[in-house]
Amino acid sequence: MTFIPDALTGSIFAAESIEDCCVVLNSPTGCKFYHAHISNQQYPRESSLDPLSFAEEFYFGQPRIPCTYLDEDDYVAGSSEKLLSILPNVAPRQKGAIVVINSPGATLIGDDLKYTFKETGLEDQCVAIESVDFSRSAPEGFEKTLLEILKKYVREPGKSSSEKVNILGLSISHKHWEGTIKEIKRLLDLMGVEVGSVIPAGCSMDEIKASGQASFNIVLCAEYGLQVAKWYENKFGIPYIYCPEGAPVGFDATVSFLNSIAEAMDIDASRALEDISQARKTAYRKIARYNSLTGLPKGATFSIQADSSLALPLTKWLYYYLGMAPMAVKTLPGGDPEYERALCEFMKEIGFTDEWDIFPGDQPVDIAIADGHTVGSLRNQNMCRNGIEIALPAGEYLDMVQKTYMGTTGALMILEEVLNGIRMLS
Amino acid sequence: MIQIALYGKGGIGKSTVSSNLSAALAESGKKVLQIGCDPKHDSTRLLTNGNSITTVMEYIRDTLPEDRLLGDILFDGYKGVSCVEAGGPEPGVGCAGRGILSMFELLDRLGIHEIPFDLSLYDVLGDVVCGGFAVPLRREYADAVFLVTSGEYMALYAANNILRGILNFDGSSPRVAGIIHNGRGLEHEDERVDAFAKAVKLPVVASIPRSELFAEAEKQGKTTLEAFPDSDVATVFRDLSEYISHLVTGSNRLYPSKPLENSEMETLVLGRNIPVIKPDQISSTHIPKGPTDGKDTLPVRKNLYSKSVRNKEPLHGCAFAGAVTTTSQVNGSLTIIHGPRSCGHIVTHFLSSNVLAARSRHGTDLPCKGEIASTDMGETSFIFGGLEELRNKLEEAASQGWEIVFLVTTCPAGLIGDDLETAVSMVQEQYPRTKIIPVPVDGNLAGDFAQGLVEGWKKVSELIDNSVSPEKGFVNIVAEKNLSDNVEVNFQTIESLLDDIGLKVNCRFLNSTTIDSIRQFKKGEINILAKKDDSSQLVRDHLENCFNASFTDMNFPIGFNETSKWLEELSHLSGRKNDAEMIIEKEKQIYDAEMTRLRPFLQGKKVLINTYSRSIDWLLDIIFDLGMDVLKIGLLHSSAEEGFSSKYAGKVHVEDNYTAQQREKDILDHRPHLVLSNYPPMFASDGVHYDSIPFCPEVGFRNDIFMAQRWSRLLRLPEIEGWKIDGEVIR
Ligand code: SF4
Repeated sequence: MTFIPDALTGSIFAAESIEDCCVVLNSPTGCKFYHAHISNQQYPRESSLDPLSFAEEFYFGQPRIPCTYLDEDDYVAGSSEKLLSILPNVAPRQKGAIVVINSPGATLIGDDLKYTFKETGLEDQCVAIESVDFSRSAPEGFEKTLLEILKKYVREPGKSSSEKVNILGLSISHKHWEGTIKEIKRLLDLMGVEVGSVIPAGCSMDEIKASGQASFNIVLCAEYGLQVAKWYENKFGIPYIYCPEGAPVGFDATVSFLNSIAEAMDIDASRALEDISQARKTAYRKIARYNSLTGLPKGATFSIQADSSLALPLTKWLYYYLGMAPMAVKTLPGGDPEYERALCEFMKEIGFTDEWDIFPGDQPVDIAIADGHTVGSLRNQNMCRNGIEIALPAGEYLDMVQKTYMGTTGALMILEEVLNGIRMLS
Repeated sequence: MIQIALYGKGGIGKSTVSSNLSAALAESGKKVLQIGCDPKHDSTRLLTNGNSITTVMEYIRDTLPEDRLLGDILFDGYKGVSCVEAGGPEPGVGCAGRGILSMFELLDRLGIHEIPFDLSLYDVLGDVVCGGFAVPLRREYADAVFLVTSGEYMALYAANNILRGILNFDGSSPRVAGIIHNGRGLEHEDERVDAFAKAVKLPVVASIPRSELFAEAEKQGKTTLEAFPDSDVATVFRDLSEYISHLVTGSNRLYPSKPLENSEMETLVLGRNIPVIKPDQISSTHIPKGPTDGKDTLPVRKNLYSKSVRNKEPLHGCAFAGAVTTTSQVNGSLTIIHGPRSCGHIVTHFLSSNVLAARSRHGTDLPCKGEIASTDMGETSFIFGGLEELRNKLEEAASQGWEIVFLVTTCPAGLIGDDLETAVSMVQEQYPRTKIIPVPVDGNLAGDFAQGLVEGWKKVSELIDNSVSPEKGFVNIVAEKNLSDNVEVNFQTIESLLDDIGLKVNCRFLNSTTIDSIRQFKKGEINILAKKDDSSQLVRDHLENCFNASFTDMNFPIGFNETSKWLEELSHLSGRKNDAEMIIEKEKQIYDAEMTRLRPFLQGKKVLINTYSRSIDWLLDIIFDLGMDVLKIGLLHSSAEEGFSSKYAGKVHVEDNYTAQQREKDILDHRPHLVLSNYPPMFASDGVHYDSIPFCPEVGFRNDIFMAQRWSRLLRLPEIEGWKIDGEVIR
């Protein structure tokens, strides 16, 4: 069983999500190797993986996340010396910010990170995260660190505020984040809405700096973006759009998501909604044929363990749209309280109270929806016919075509995986 | 707003000084915030009528982060002075310094800076200027630092230490406001304080006389200023308050920190020179300095250090992850991680990835392993110590009936110094049927990943029953590479080869091993190391020394030559030489036939090898058998292995500390046909092909043939595949 990541991982991915930003871990290599590996997998920026290309001190053969390789001596004497040498080493390779994050051990030594920034003349380029809330949830660490970056770099909008919107609440730790950006932009484009930046997944520091000019912020996954949205609202008066049905996963939540945007921005959503109608027709024709032969997917079972913003819409959609039975539904730590409440209520309403908040591995199901490791191990134990990977850590499969679980395309993708999965022999 | 830190040794009266000073400042109309940064948490008591206030540490412990409010920890005191007390853990547990750090973070988050104070005053314990207690020294907090001291040596020593702390932060920029002399009425006290002040080039800005009024006021729960407003003492504080006002306007200046060396301090304050005794001058009559006749030397515990630890090299990975990788192999045991969830996430990610890869790449299911749980140390445990959570976790495990519980510690658990022994013995007493085995590697304090493997193996070996006798025909497999996805395939190959010559595996030490099998470890008459790397050699040493285990010299064999030799050697022990010969003969025919078939493609081809692995004779065997030429072996720096031992030593050119630049040059200069690396480079050159050498090759007869077949195809394929053109391939 893989333990769920905590605030340290969330914090690292907030900074690593930004194209030209890099994390320096003030840590032993024990905390570095894993995170550098995952960052490089999720958002490859270097062309090679050859460790000899990154053989310099601090990098340990990996292109991402250099670290101060703390040891016993540093714990006693402090890590300033190493910080004073790592920062000038990393800075010239980095256009954007360097976010220095303390590991659990470093947080106890209490070194003054800002002092080292000043000493190296890198105060403007560096952000200090002295202590993430260890063992708290990944989304908390994510938003805390992202807010530190935003507070330091987002510029006052000035007079010329833009018509563009920001998308908030998407990290490179989200499965298929690149495909998701493409799909959301496509749908918004059908509504005549232009996306300025997606904060922070794949955005640049320049985009971060200019993000205070947006006309609206659209929150995709609330646990990764709601606090940030509130910050923009307080600081720059940018209104935010939060969809009560969760992220746009499945046809119903996507419709609701688009309607929330249309209402808030007072625009017409009909072209985007038509896009969904067309997809529903396509889906209908295929499901109808499948259904008339087997009666399925109605009655098929599923389990889900995911962030609340995904678990809520997906559980409801699989129940209402396909008639599937939720046998285990659990949200990951750090969920949006509104979504969690709504999901709990929903499970009660449909008579599945006992299936709420239990781990998706206690009984066999047709479709397991969870992180890649959980899905993989449930498959290995024949506890599901097929699995849908909806979170990190990722499984073994290498995606070449950009995919998403959000929007119209995402709904069709989920249907494809569910329907084919149910057909598989366990 | 100006921020002022008052530092002084514990018990020197700095809290009394601080609260009287705050009172004087408040009387003069200033809006003052006083923050007590002493675990004793009595800094502000005289401002709050002698009452204790809720400390920030208590608050952090008892309140969820989302429910925390500034108003709950900020209290109104005399003349509106706002009071905050940091508090701290119980003596002997947790980390008080971390507590101070957490307090500042919390105050920041709750918006204390939004309140328009004229002056913040930090009253800080100056005995230990560790990272936590030094937070108020940071520029963002203290604009000016006062040293509170008496004329006692230890108080002056602490004051000097604080100056050293400031120097480390600030270099020579001026931030020290001066010395506040809190008199004890000692003989020559004034002279000593003056001499110190002169030596460190600081003014004594206030001399507070010893006075009974302090005790009187304290009894009333008041500052002297409040209780005896017309006293001389009150005047001293009013003057000091005035001095601070002039600091704000700039008419009083700040000074750079110029601490003394310890020896200078001693000469100055104690009036004597203390020579430093060097090790070779030790004159203890009780402790023998070195081996004499071998009898009176103190017994030095032999330790088994990994390569990085013994050479003091940068540590690769942490001992914590290594230890969990080992203990979690004990089937039917529970490993409890004492640390934050991130540590557990990292290590379980490695372990699960391996299980998934074994299935998807090799179709093997890794058998059951031990389970893992975590104490999920968080902010509260960092400050107060994590013993309560640990005890709860241990009790939970014991009450669930786990027979064996390993307890592995992470960096923070080690740094706050949680006393595992006590927690373990308390639970052990209550649940005698559960054996709890602490593995106190403390993250990377014990060393790197390899060191953790060794520590884990050592601890698991405590389960071995020394009274068991070896039985003929049984072997143990030791130190399999558990994080390699082919670990199970390799074991199956070895098990089947052993079976062919009448040997049975008794214990896999350690891979998915039952507790009983570990107890019966000594039933194995021979032990076979899976690999001969550094950590495996260390576990071998340990098992030889502590359990008289005897090992074959050969580890898991790779390729025809090694496997033939290995089978021959082991068949001697089992008395099944004929069976071995038959197998070898059959495999030889296959090998020879393939060599004959492949030689025309590969003979005379030049190979450049660069590798982290030190044992590559299996690779060289096939290269030479095929008639290929080895241009050079470039050894890359490895944290797991050192040296290079090969039967081809002297016949091949070996270059140590090989680099990417050397490789590039060699490729351009020598144009090898094939470059073999653990990670093939992106460097392309006409006529050069690249292939990888697996870190953990598959064992047994056929892997070398498989490699040769692959090369023969490779050399007929395009040198640069199309996809590479789209990257940054260097030509
Ligand atoms: S904090 Fe220490 S124990 Fe935990 S993963 Fe990092 S190096 Fe290892």
